[in-house]
Amino acid sequence: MFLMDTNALFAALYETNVHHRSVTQWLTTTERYASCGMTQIGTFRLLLTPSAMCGKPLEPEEAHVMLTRFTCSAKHTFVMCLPLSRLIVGQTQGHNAAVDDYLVQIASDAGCRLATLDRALATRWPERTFLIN
Amino acid sequence: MLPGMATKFDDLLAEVMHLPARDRARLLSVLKELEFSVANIVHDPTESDPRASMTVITVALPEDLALLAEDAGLLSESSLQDLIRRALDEYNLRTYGVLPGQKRRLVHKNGYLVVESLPGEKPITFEQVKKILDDMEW
Repeated sequence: MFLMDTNALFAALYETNVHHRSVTQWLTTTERYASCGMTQIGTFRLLLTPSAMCGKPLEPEEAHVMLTRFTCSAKHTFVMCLPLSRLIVGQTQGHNAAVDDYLVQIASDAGCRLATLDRALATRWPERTFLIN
Repeated sequence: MLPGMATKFDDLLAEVMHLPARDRARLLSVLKELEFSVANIVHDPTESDPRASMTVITVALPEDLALLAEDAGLLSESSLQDLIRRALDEYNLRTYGVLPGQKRRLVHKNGYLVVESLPGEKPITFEQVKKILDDMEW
């Protein structure tokens, strides 16, 4: 199982994203994938953000329906966000990296890796992440 | 309540009480329906004060421009809204390649819903999305 990073989940749902095709293909080959509260709300907000949606964002109800349909798949699991870990988040390298590192921790706590499009993140945590090409 | 209204209302009630039971029941049903409609109107966001979702903006303009705009009728709320909407359409076309009037479609793909690309829409990259996420207030 893989926990999908916010960027990956957003790419799966939006055709105009340059990584939409690669993420979609990866999803078809993956047995199980997951999301958590952080990645769901992050994706939800992106779907409502004009600059992320090329000036034509979705309405909240549309974005909610999209996420609901995606997470209803038999291949999908919802994982919980646990208290911050000193081992991972406590060693973060800055306020922006903190969110990424927290997702790495959530994936690790759930016994899986974080599937991400972020090459720098995958380099920082090679054993706890999976880079979707 | 206007003077005399209370008396007229009492008279109306007295009339109602003398109606046959079936007519009273029908009247009650109509009143309940009316109450339900009124309740819906109260809570229907589309019926709420349109100004509740407005933002007031104060802009300083060069005096000559302001006079010209006023003479041309461009300083009314509706004219300014039209001007800004047209400017936004041009901005979206220039920035994202999206034409005015194009609407988003959600399509079924791979077992879930996907936001369909609009014709001419410029692709959004990982770096652009990452910047938006980093700039978000959490």
